[in-house]
Parts: sequence; structure tokens; C-alpha cells
Amino acid sequence: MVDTSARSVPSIRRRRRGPRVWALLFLAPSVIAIFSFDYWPLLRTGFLSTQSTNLFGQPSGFVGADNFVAMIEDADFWKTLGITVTFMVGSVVSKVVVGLAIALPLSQRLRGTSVFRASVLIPMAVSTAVAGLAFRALMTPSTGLFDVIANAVGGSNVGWLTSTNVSLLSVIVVDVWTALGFTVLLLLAALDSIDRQVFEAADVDGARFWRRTTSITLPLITPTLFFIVVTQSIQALREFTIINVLTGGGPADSTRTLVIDIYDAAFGGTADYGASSARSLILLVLILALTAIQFGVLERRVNYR
Amino acid sequence: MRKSLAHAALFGYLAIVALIVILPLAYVLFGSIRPTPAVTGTLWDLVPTGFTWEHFASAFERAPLLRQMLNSALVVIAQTGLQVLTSVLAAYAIVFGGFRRPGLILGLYLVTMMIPNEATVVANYLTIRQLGLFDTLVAVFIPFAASAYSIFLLRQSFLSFPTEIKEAATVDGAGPMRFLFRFLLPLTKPTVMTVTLVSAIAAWNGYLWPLLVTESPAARTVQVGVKTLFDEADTDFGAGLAGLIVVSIPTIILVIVGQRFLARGLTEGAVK
Repeated sequence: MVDTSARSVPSIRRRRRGPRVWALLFLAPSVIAIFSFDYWPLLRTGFLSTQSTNLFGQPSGFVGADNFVAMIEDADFWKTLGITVTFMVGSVVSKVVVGLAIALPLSQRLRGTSVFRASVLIPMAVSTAVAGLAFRALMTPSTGLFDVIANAVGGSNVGWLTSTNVSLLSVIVVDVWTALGFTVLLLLAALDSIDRQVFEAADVDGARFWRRTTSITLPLITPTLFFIVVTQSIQALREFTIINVLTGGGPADSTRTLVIDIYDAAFGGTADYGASSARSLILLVLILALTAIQFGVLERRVNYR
Repeated sequence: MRKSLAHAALFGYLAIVALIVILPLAYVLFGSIRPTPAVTGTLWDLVPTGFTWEHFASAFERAPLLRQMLNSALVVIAQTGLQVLTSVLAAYAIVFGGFRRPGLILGLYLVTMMIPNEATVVANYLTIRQLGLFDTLVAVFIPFAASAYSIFLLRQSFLSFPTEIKEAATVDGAGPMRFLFRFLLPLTKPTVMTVTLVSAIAAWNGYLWPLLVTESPAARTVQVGVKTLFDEADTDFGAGLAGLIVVSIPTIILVIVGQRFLARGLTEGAVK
């Protein structure tokens, strides 16, 4: 983050040194809020991860790294991690591919297509919980529309949410749908900002649509693609609502991601806050790593200029 | 000729894509107004056939939806009000407070964007329990009293505020409060609108946190409430679908009315 405030308000800076009393008062409410509900719980999660938990859900003594050792030795944890990564990669790749397949033709701004532009943004107006439930209706075994269509074209019931082979794919489909407005909007903004002359030059050269797209358009919108990949990777790691609403982590744990694991360990009947906190810290580390990659790449990009 | 053919193909492709995208919502809408059975399990479910209000009546009967809508509305007002107020004050202090290293203070807020709420829910849940706030509406909104995202957006827009006006106002004897409310906020209204809308929609759509800190049906917010309704309406599918429509109406209106501001809010954080 480049700080420009010092340059923008030099006169104020010169007149008096140091912060004003009112400024400290103005900061107070939000500082109290972020310390109470961001920094403090972070410390507390770290503390809880070193504690055993008794039957009443109370921390009951320091156990060092025991919670982490138990986690690493638990085959289910690695399965969960695998599902989390598969979900993340599948979801992000699909979002980029589907986003481009919609945004590229929309950016041509053909006459009469603005209504399509608006309708693609509709998923933004619906909450994740509602979207998940709508798809749960569509994916209802045999009477849901998806199975009705599958049967109509000569197939049979797919088991969208009941088959361990399909469930993760179903969850990804819903995740792609909920993010569609966001991805298309960002891609359109990037595509619209490309200088038209670049395309005119390409037209003169006789470059066809496909070649033009891969060798001109995509390289020019790389920063936006990169932004989508990073933010949506983080989003996928954090996704709770869709999975909770659609499958609750099932069937047979086939859609059990890290966040579902965190939730179940603490609130799924066992109240094992130690195990839950250890998993929370893994989630935190994964997200910090992705954020570090984001800033690392951005930094380099800025330096090249 | 070839060109118009290509146009027609592209137009057709986009039309199909648009239909597929709105299909889930159309399916829910048609089902919610179709006379029983709401879902026929045939291809007729793709189109509206007949009309009835009975599923909506049934939805309101089965679940305290009105109460839960009111709960959510209160959460939206409290959470958005708090967030916008604390964020405006913080951003204002960062930009005009005369701090030696304003970037450091901003950083203190921005770091919280990297701490996923999902990783701190257990600790926050325990805090709420200890404060005796469990199963209250205060528990639902109080952790979101500040927003690093809002502070960041507001700070960006305050930075571009013309220094001459600030100086003129100060010379005229305008104190920090007067300057903030009489000059700064009116001139940065679009950003304030963006921040307000994004915050309000997020508050209405909250799911994981309200699910954890509320328990009684009367304290539930609407997203959690509609999930419960849907779970329990197995034999009355229409009621579940009608519930989804009811819950979505406020955000659909907000998004349509405020799409200009929302688009800005989403792309603002993106790479330029």
C-alpha cells in the first residue's frame, strides 16, 4: 500500500505537530471494535489451540502442541485439506473460465445485449444462503429440475447432493453461480478499459477472434485475472454457507472442507474448541500465504513501471 | 451477410447464457406461485403454470418470518449505522488528524482484512457468551461495528478532497465536526453511499455468525430462519420456495436501486 496522505495535506502537517485530541477520539470506537473482535480473538484462538477442552467446553489445561499433533495424525484432517484444495482450485478455475465465456462476448456490446448484461449480474442480488437453497431445490433427487432434465435427455438421476462422486462438483456449480455477478463485472470493467485502437490494429492484421483473444485481450487483462484468482481462492477457503446449506459437509464427508471442520469440531456436538482452534490457525496461515502472494506479485508489477 | 450471421449466433449464445443464469431464481419464483404441488417433477416446472398466494401464506404460518425480517432489518440498521459512523470518523482522523505516520494506523485496520472471520468464530462466540449476549440481536451485529474495507474506501476518497476548501473552512472557524458534516461528507457522498450499501447488503445476508450466536426462532435473522423453514417444509415445498422469494426482495431492491454505487465498490479494491 503506497501512502500518499503525507503529500496531500502538507499545510495541516506544517501548522501543528502530532495528532489532535479529537483525532484520537475519532479513532477510538473502531480501534476498540477491531481489538475486541479481530485481534483479541486471534490471540485467544492461539491460546485455545494449546489447551485441552473438558466436557463442558472449558479450556482445561495446557497441552502444548498436542492438538496439532492429533490433527496431523488424523487421516480425516488430510482428507479435509485435500477436499478444501480441490474445491478451491475447481471453483477458481471454473469462475475464470465461465466468467470469460460470458464477459468476452458481452464486451462486444452488440445491439440488444445490454439486457443480457443486466441478467448476468442478477446473482449479486441474492444472498448465498438463498442461492444455496434454490439450488438444493433444483438438485432434489428425481423431482428437482436437474434430475428431471437429466431424465428427459435419456439419462437417469444423477445424485447431485447424494453421490460422493458428484457432490463436490455440485457445490462448485453453486459457488460459481453466486460469484458470477462479481467476476463478470470485474472482467467487463477490465475489457472495457482496453484501448480500441489495439483491436483495430489487430483487425488490420487480420487476426481472428480466438487469436486476438489469446494473444492480445487476455495478456492485457492479466492484472484483473490475477485479482480474481487470489480473491476467489481466499473466498473458496472461507466458504461456509453454500456447503452448510447444500450438504452440511456430506455425503460421507465428501464436501467437508476446513471451515466445515472448524465449525463441526466446536459446534457439531463435541465442543472441542482446542481441535477447532488448531484448524482455525491452519486456515489463517493458508489465507495469509495467499495474501502474501498477492502483495508480492503486485509489488513486482509496480516496480517494473 | 457473414457478419450478421455471426451477430445472430453471438446474440443467441448470450440469450441462452442469460436464461441459464436466471434459471434458479425463475424456478423458485414459478414454484412459489404454482398451485399445489409447487413442484411437479416434470419439465412444466420450467414455466409458470397458474397462480396462487397460498405458499406465501403457508410460509408465514410455518415460520416467524415477519419477526425474523424485523430482526434482520434491525441488524441492518444497527450494523450499517455503526459501521458507517465509526468508519467515517476513523478515515477522517487518519487523513486530517495530523498523525505523523497515518499509514501505520491504516495498516492496523487493513491487517484485520487478512484475519478470516471463519478462523475467529470460536473465540468470538466465547466472548459473546461471556458478555451474556448470546441469543440477542446485539450479538449479531456488534462484532461488525468497524470495517477495514469501509475505512479504506472512505480514506481514499477523503484524500482526494481539495486542500483549499479544507483550509478555507478552517480559516472560517469550522471545527472538525462542522467540517466533517458540512463540507467533507456532502462532497464525498458517492463513496459514503457505496460503503453504506455494501455494508447493508452484507448485514442482511449474514449467515454463519447469526447461526452461531442465536438459538430461539424469535431471535434468528432471516437467512438462518429461511434455512430452517426450508429444512422443515419437506412436505410443503411451496412454502420453502415462497420463503426464499420473501427474503430476497429487500436485497433485490437495494441492488437495483444502488447498482451504480455497488459496481464502484466492487471494482474499487481491484487492481487498476
